[in-house]
Amino acid sequence: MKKLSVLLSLALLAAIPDSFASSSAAAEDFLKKSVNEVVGIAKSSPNSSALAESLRPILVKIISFDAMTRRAVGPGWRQFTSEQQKEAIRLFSTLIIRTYSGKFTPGELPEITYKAATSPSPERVEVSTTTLYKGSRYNVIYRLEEIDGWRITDVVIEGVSMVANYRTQFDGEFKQGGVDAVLSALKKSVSTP
Amino acid sequence: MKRLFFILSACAIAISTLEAATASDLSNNDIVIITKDGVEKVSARGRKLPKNSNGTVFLRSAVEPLPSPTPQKPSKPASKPTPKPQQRATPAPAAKPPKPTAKAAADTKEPTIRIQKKSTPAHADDDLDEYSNVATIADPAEPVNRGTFWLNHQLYNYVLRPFSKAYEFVLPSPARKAIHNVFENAEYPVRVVNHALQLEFKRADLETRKFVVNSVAGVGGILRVSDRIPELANIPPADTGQTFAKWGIGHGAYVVLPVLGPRSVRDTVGMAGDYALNPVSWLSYGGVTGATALAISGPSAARNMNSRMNLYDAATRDAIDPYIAVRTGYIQYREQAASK
Repeated sequence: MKKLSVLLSLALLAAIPDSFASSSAAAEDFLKKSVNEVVGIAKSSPNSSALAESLRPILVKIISFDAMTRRAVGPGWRQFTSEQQKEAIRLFSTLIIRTYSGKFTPGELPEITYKAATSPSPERVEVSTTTLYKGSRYNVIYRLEEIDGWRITDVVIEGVSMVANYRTQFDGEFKQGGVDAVLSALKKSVSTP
Repeated sequence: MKRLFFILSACAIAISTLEAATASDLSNNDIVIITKDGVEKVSARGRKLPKNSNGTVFLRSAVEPLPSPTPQKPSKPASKPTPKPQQRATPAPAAKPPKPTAKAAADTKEPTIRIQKKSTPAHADDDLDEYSNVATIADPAEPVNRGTFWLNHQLYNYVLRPFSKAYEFVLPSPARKAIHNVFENAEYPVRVVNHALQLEFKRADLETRKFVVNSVAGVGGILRVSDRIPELANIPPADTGQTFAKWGIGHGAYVVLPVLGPRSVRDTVGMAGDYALNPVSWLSYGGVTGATALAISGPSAARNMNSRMNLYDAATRDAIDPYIAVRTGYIQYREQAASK
């Protein structure tokens, strides 16, 4: 009986890291699949504005724009009405998609090497990669979370987090003019190509 | 004497139970006050303790046996007034009505409820402030810096960008890559000296091997053969500013330099070190002047500018406030470089 309980507890202990491993493996698989899909589209796209258009339906499925926008705005988000929140998410996603697709030059494709994935908490996985692009090497970390399936919630390029960077910019706007200032700044950025 | 000991030990048990109870489970704070006149039962939630009471305060669980399957301590009625420990019992939440003691045992599991709350981060509000601890830098000269930033912006857009485009136009990509490689290879002293100053001797050694491989097999550094050797492909970069950071020197203030763009005071000083270690800047000391010097340093400048333009564009194109975007980006990038 005692032996059985020891065996059981051992099995339990073994199961815990295993579930972590399988979740980070699932996240990594999801990321690889998504990145390949994006690169495939980038290959056939003639220019970056056409690329933004054709990438949108895919990026919506792999990036959580909702989480990104909330965190980029910060605690001020509570002061947004649900209409304003929707508007902010719409504008911010347009901006992110444009930023993302602007990073590709037609004809030049990145070469991505995946390194070990880590799991800072059960529902989060960070996959670090080395991306060779136009002769330069970049460390790119993808942060993923399980929100209705795996979703990318941040991209950290050479230590620069996309969400953190926008957060510091929105903070300034919010301090000056609250919700309206954030929304009008977003509109302005989206309308300037 | 024996009696005093009995009272003291009863008090000690009562206090320890009280502490344990206040720490773990506040809902159990029903209190019993024993005075000369008799026994009074008080709920710690609803009411405050009577003032000027000479009575001794005990948790009810300490003096009464619980009717639950897990009885806590045997009841020990104390009979003499002792110094008052009642302040400990008062900081209980005041909202709930007093509960019957039968429920007390079930209540001890209350803290687990809080853990459940955390498990829905996706749409809960508690992740809003996740990026509150972004690396920042003091920017006391912000108005001046913003002015310089604006000037640089005009310079980049109207003077340097056409030049950079011309460079891209005149030289095909493989040629630009070759030029980049040659100068990167030539900057070997900057990296090796700083690796050594950071006591990273293994990296200094790898850097030296990379230099030899690229200079010999890569025809003077035109080809980066080292990329095909795994251990030489990804040596962390090193510069003087990073060395200062590893020595524990802080950034100091943020400055935007004309033409060169953002720096911290520390990295501005570091830049002087990099300049001194860069062979391209040794030309004039070696008697190389005029057209020859320009022929060598020209492509170097163009290549630097070209990569700087690309970086600047990437940082500012879709920014809300380009100045802040560059400042945060710069500081995060440098933090990472210093942590390698």
